[in-house]
Amino acid sequence: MPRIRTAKSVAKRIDLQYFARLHPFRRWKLWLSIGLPVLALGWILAVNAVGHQKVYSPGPVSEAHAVFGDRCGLCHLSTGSFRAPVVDAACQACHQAPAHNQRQTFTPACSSCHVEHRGTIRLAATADNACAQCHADLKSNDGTQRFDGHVSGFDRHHPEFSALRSGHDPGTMNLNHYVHLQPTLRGPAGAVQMKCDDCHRPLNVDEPWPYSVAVVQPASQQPVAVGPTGAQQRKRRSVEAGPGAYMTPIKYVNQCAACHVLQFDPLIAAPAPHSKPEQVHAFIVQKLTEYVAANPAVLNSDPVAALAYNDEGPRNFLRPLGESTEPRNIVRPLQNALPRAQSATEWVQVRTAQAEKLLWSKNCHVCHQATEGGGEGLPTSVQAIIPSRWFPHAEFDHEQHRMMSCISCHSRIPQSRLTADINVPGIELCRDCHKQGGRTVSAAPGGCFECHSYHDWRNEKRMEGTLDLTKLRGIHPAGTENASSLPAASGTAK
Amino acid sequence: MLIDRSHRPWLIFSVSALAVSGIGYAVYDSLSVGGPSGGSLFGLIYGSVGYAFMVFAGLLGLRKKFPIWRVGRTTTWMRGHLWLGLLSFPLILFHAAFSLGAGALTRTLMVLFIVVVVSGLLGAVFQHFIPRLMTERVQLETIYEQIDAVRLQLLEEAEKIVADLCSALEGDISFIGEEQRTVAASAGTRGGLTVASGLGADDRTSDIVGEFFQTELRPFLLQTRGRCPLADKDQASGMFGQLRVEIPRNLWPKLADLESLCDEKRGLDRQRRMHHLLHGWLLVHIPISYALLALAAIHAIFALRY
Repeated sequence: MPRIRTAKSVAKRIDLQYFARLHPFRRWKLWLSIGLPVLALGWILAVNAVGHQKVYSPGPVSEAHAVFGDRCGLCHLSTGSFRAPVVDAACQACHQAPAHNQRQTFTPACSSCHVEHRGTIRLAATADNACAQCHADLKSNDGTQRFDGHVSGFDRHHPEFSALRSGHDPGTMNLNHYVHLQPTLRGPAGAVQMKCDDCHRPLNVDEPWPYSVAVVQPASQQPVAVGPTGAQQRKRRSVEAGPGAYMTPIKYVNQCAACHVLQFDPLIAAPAPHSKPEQVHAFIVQKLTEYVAANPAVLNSDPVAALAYNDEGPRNFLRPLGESTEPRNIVRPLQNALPRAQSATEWVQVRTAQAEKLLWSKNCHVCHQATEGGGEGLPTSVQAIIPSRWFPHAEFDHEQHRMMSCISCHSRIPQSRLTADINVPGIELCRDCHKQGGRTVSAAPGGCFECHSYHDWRNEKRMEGTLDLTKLRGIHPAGTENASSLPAASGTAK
Repeated sequence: MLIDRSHRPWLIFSVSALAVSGIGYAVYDSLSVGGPSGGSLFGLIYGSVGYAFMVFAGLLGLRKKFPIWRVGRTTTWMRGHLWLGLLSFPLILFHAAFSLGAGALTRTLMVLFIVVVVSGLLGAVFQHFIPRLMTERVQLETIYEQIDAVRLQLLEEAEKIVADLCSALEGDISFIGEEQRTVAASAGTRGGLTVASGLGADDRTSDIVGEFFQTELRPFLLQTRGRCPLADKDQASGMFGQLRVEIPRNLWPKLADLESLCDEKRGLDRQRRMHHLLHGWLLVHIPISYALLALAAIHAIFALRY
């Protein structure tokens, strides 16, 4: 009989009690289903037992907080109930962050903008939405509106920079950038081609100025050290603006003196100081008095000839720009013949008058916008204003942009002839590089925080630290185990 | 479980729910101040719903343990397990803001969840295709747990067939037919093995069969893993063909029985392999699912606290 197999014959071979015993496959499934969850719970219990709370953390804390990253309770303050959220008081124990604006309608919780547990990010790098929650539809508690009320981000409805919106430079100094960048300028030692950084350098550049007073008066005067102006210097910035962020403020002795020499008399080598008219007047009188005392013969010389300049060296400030550099004598444009002085005092008076006439009407007027008549015949200078910051509510760091040529951003400078010209670049130029999304769109970051600080750090108050190593790190530093028994230590503890 | 037309309502529901939650996430992402996070209101909603789906999916095991409970048909639970379990994955991704988690617990949770979802998807694919394949390729399918018992029964059967075969080859006349008896009688006697010589067989052939049984057939029927020549149908056919050359034609039915045994054993082996594919993923899917549910509960408690 051949072997015949049917489902029925096969079924008959089955042990009908097979399910009473667990097959290894089912056994493994059962034990793994029990063992793995138990293992997982054991892991949690084990880390709990050693006080390693970090296991519950949704992610590493920022670099600044990493030092107490294991001390959850420092930030997560228990509210007496089950919950232990991060409250502002926990942040303010270390950060006396001033409010944003007196007129803001509400103050968001610290942790809503500075989101922790996202790794080694800068907490100051807040999301645009944090700013946009107010600025997208800005309201103030007094109903007034000073800023654009519908800004959602740098790419979204951000207005043109206020400096450009105003339409003119608030500076009161005459400056013709176009002229200063011509190749035919005469410098202290001949023709020069000026460059931007001959006059404009970030504050952290410590190199001699090429056209400072030291070039023409190395012994008598020196350039001055210039720090940031009040507008440039703030107590602290959320925005990282380094020491090279801003340009050194323009000072006559640093950037102008070598070419714009304030020589007031051909007989006196020392130029007048770049100072108030009263001080200039006193200086001239003093120098001429000293001169006539040392050279009484000058009283007998031709007063007109004595006023002629030998146009050499640094005393070339009267030469019109762009003219030939051939030496020549320049005679003051006197309309009337000068009478011969009868005394030294008269001689000093006459020459002082001539010198001041030259200074007030020509030298000063080259740069200073206007002078008005003041007391004792001396002019009163209009206050010199050269803006040192163009973005009063934002930060800009020149150092971060050092790879760019000056002209690439300040493109209007070579053609700018008027002080009133605004030569800061417009927002569209910034948007060519800075975009929201930053590296994700292969661009420089364009977040609000790149330029704007939320907290007004000018109002920051000094604070006293309250933490110690035990609270901060959970450790007792060597030698302090018995510190509580010391009177001083116990006093400190109180 | 077959993924057929009966799944259409679940599919429509899942796709709709995914679309709604996806749109909700896009809006939430654009409006949230510090970016989406699991601790925000929307993050918690996504997490809670996702976890609820996970728990529902986990309850399938309980439902299967108590089939008499009147809480819906098991097939409905199975479909819910499949679709809601799958839907829980994007919901949890929305909850986690598409982060794999940077903390030890959250990262572990995400890794476990991915393993559970991938193994589940793999299992669904296997369960869709393999049962049909098994029906086609395993003729005499048996209960998986009984394969070893059946295998031993096959061995016993083979031992008996080989014993009979050897006896016949060694002259036991009870194995010969009438025609052979006539042939054997006319052939005369030779060394007392009249019948056997009439069959054209001798001790050497019996030894060959015995050796074949000991070295090839028995190990093949006993083995659960590894490769034997008889595990390959072509090789087995060749080996049995060679035996047929040695063995008289009238004993070939015995060889055919042995060959049939080998076929059945190969079928059982095939069934075992398919069963491992069909159910092996459960060894990963189920234990890790329970671990995931336990750890997710702890995560939820501490996330709500902090």
